[in-house]
Parts: sequence; structure tokens; C-alpha cells
Amino acid sequence: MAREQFQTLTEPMYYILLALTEECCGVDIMEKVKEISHDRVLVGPGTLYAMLAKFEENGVIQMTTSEGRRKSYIITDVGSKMLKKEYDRLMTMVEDGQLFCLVLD
Amino acid sequence: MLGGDSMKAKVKTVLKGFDYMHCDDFAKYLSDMAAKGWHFKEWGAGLKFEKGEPEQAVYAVEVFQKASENDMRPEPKTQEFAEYCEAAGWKFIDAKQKFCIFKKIDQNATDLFTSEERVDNARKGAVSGSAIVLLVMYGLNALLQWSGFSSMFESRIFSAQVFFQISIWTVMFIGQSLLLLYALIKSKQLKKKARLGEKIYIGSREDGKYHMNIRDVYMVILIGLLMYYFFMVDEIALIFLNVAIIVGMTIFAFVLNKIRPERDTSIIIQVIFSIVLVMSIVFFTMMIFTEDGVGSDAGKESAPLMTTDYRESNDVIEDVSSYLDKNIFGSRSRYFVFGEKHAIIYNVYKSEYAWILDRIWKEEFIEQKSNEEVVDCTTDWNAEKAFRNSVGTYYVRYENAILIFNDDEDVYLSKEQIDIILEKLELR
Repeated sequence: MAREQFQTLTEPMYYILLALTEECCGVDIMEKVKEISHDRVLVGPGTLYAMLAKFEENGVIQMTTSEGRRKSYIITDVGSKMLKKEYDRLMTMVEDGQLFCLVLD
Repeated sequence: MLGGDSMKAKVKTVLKGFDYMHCDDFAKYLSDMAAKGWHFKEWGAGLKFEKGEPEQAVYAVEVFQKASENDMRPEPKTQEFAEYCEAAGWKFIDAKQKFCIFKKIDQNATDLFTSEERVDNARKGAVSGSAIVLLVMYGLNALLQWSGFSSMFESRIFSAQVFFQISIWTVMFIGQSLLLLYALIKSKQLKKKARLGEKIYIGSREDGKYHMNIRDVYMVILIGLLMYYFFMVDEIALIFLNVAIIVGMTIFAFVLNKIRPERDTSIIIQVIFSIVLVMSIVFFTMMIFTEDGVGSDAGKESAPLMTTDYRESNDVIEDVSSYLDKNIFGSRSRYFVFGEKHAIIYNVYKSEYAWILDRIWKEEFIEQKSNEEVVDCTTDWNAEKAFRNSVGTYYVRYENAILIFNDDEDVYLSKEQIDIILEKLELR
């Protein structure tokens, strides 16, 4: 079960989950996040490692393979719902802000 | 801070310690060493450096939460974490306890953690469960030592051993409390800076200069107490016991750091060593301490006053025992002089502190003898107060001393005899 700490995702959390919509090796996630965000978001290895452990602990992601120390992960249904919820929240924010920001422009 | 270098060929080991709240000082130190051509290789008995070309290297010293204080080498989770870091452009060098050391090999390498995470990690490392267990242990030991004063004040207040134990546990408790407090306050300040997007530095030597910190002061006080203790204690066996403990612990730490066993093995070794150490201390302490405290048969000539000194007697002295306690509060000397026919026992307390002598006077005379019939002999002893009880024990109070004197022959001491006693005991 996702805990309250994941009710609103931080930017690195959001991108890590995006990266894990496809099975991915833990160490490759950093590169994938960079790619998805067009070099805008950089997730440090310490941040990523701690985040993966938290996600896994809360059933947001699951390990798919483990070869020695190389572990691969994929998002779970719980994680997918969480990601979708965050996406919807962000979209609502964008829609809400659209009118005002157009005026500002 | 520990110091000392030992150089062998192209490798040198430096005995230097850093705590988690000074992890950036540690990284800076490694970079400074690299600039001098000494490159950190691994932990051993200390920090091992290899000689090479001087280099402007960037090190990162991180506090890894999944590691344990019992880790003497990189455990599987640390190695797994290291792989993530290597993929991000950081070369993993070594890990011990919660410290992980990395060297930047890709100039575009991403920071290992965010600033806020780094502060959290350092704080969690410093204010960990084991640090709190230590605090409680020091506190309980200090409390136990202090509580002993409620019932055995006169036998504890002048004891160098008791003074040492109380000081050590109290200093360790206060030191540990301050270290934890420092970690909490400093981390709060740093986190505030990190949230504002300011650059943070976890340590105190950002400017490259030495700044006195709690741990250094704490260590200096502990070493000072130890030196003072060795200076104050006359009992060779006690000094030997304490030196043996320190040497034993140092050798143990050296060997453990040298062999660097895995976490589980390390825990087992430490538990076994602790049990052996505690049992040895108890065993040797029981051997050293007699029923009356530290001291022994001091020989027939060791007591300043014999029966024959103040009264005519053909008694032959058979045995003399003396016990001396002294520390910064003053001294307590106890003498037991046994002759063939008679014995005298006398205690001399000396202190510059009136409150100490008041308390001893209260415990030794007022509380113990309040129900007995006493005779005031203040004038004879030329004292502040002097009394003789029904069994012939004299209680004499001077400004800076107390004498408790008993002659088992229950004699009434004359003025001349009193003068001899005072002169012999240097109480004039």
C-alpha cells in the first residue's frame, strides 16, 4: 500500500516512476530519467537508491530480476495508479493556471 | 582528534577520525592529501594512502543509511549502492561503518544526493540508535556513580578511582549529549540553507582552518582525566589494570580494523571481546580491592603514629595496615596498628573544602553517635570541636581536617599525649 508520503510525488519520484513504466535496471534509471526529461531532471545515485528502496517497500515498484547486485524493477499497479493520479493532478494544475498564465503572457 | 603517521614504502597510514557531522571535512582532507600526492586507498588500522602524482581530486564522503555502525568493510547493500554511484561518474573507493568514500571520475557526474538528503543522512548517522544507546549507558553509569555518594560519602569523596569513574562517565555523558545536540542544531541550520538553495558544507573547516569542535574538546578532557588519574593513584595494580584495559581495547580496535571482518563476524567478535573484557575487569578489580578499599599491609613503619609514640608500653607492634585515598578534594588516611596486646585505629580526613568536612563530620559523628554519651574535649585538642564517646573514640574537627581516633584500651588522653598525636599526624 502506498503511504501518505507518496500522495504528492516530487519531481524525481515522478520521473523515476515514468522510467519504470518499462522494466529497467536500477543503475540505468538515472540515464533514462535524464532522457525522458530532456536533460532537465538529474537524479543522483544516492537519491535514486533510497527512492527505489522506499518504492519497493511500499509496493509502488517491484523487482523483476536480480543478477548479482544488478536489479531490475518495474512499476506495479499501485504505482501506476499513483503515477496517473499525479499526472491528473498536474494536468488540473496546468488547466487551472492556463487562463491566468495566458493573461500574463 | 587522533594523530600520527607511519610511513612504509609508498603507502602510509594516518590515524585520523571524523564524525558524520564533519563528512565534508573528511572529503576536504582527502582532496588536500591528493593534492600532495597521497591518494586514499582504503581503511586499515587508519586511513591508508598511496603515494602518486599530486592531483586536484574531488572526493565525496557520504553517510549511507543502509550501512551499519558494525560494518568494517563494504557490505552487499553498500556495494550495490556503489554501483549506482559508479554509473553516475563516481569511483567507489571504500566504506566503513556508514561512511562511503567516492572519487569523482566524470567531471559532469551528478551529485550523489541532494543537499537536504545529505544533511538528513549526516544527522541520522550522528543521532542514531547506537549513539542514543551510548548516551543512556554513559548516563546510567554516571548516575550510578553519583548515587554512591548518598550512602558512602566519606569513603568515596577522596577516592581517586571514584573521582576518575565519576568524571569519565559524566564527561562522556555530557560530551555525547553535546555531540547529539550539535548534530540536531547544525543539521537544522544546514537544512534551512539547503531549502533556500544555498551551498551547504557539513563540517567546520570549509575555510581550510582548524576550528575547535566538541569532539576535540571532549577528547582532550578525557585524556586529561586519564593523565590526572595516573598521577593521583598510588596503587600500582590499579594503574596497571587501567593501562591494561586501554592497551587491550586499542589492540582490539587495531586488529578489528586491520582484519575488517564482515558485519555478522564483527558483531560476534565485539560481543565476545566485551564479555571477556568485563569479566577480566571484574576479576582483577576483586583481586585489587580489599574489603576496606585499596591498600594493603603497609609494613610496620608505615603508620605515622604507633601506640608506643604516645604512651609507655612494652607492646610489640605485630601488624600495620594503611589505606590512603586522595584526589583534588583532599585525602583520607586510615591506619590500623595492631600490637600484641592493643590496637589503635585512626582516620585522618584532610580537605580545603569545608562542605566536604561538614558532611563527613555529620555522617561520622552526628548521625552515628547522636545517641551516645559524649564528653566535650575541644580545649584539649585545641580544635573547632572535639568529643570522646563512651567507648573511647575521639572525634576531632579542625578547619581543614577531621581526626577519628580509637585506642582499644579506652584511655583518657592527656594534653601531652594529644600534642604528640597531633604532631605525628601533622594536624597542628
